[in-house]
Amino acid sequence: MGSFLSCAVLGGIISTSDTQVATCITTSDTIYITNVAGFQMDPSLPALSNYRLKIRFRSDGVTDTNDNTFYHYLKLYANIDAYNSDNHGIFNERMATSVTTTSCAYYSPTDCRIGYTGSNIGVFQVQ
Amino acid sequence: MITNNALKTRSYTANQYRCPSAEAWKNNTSVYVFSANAIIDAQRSTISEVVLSDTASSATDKNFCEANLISSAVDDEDLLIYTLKSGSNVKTVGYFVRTYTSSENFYAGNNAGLALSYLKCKYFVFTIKVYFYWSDTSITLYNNNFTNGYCNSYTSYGGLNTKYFSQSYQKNDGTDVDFVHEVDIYSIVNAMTSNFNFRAGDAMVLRWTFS
Repeated sequence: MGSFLSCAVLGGIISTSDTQVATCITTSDTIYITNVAGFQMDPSLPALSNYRLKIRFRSDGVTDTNDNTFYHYLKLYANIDAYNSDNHGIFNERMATSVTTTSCAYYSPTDCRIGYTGSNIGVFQVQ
Repeated sequence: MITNNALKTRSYTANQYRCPSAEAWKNNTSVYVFSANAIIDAQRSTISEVVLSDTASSATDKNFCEANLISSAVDDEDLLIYTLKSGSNVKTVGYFVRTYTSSENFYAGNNAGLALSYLKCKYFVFTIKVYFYWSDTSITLYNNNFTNGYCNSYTSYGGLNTKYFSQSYQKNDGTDVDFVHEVDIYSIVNAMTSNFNFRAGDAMVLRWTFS
């Protein structure tokens, strides 16, 4: 996965207040979002509802050899102090199966080569 | 009369931890804090001290816990809440005092031990000191700090449902990659509502990690 460089909340996370947004912050190995409110639960979710969280993040790269397999963990803390101390989470979940991504660099729009580190000059046409 | 050297200080061991159930955060339930094969005699007492709030704390959130006696608490349990002021600092401490009318063994499986009725804390950032007055010559102080030691019972594997995961590249050598990740936590949140009450003003933190 590499070191995280930046992140942004794309949807599904409600801020605490009108003046403070839910802020996405990265460290080298962690993404965390502050000022998270209660997912608009009053008192419980309606049946058959999806509740999705979506983020975008950038890292400084996966290895340039073949596939990268990793698990994703999501942990909700009561407040920033609990996060800083890594106290018990309200929930602490891991995905059931791993995700595998293939590391390759696009030599051309249709040619993604594993382990490719060279540069190329050309014109890519978007149709 | 209590003797001079009656007090002994101990730390909890793994089998003495009684982790508060998840429901303790939401409901007026008893919070178990100690469990051991130890018998306290009738007319003896336990005192449990919990810091409820402290403006002098370095933590961002100065309010740690709420304490109340619930109607179903045993008659011999009392709660004293003290507000201590030192300069501009204000500290609130709760003392659960219980005098036993009959002897009691603090161990009987998973649902027994010394309970505080009731205590609600912000997901285990609290410290409890419990004084056991076994006799005039034997007092034991147990220090307990519920953080992330023996109470890691809320972790489960498989609760996350990834709906979308994409990876694209910024550079042609495969570095500086861009990810979009979407998860569905419906099942997690539904299970969570049975144990947790969200409160207005809570500023929670959601952490994403990969391994």
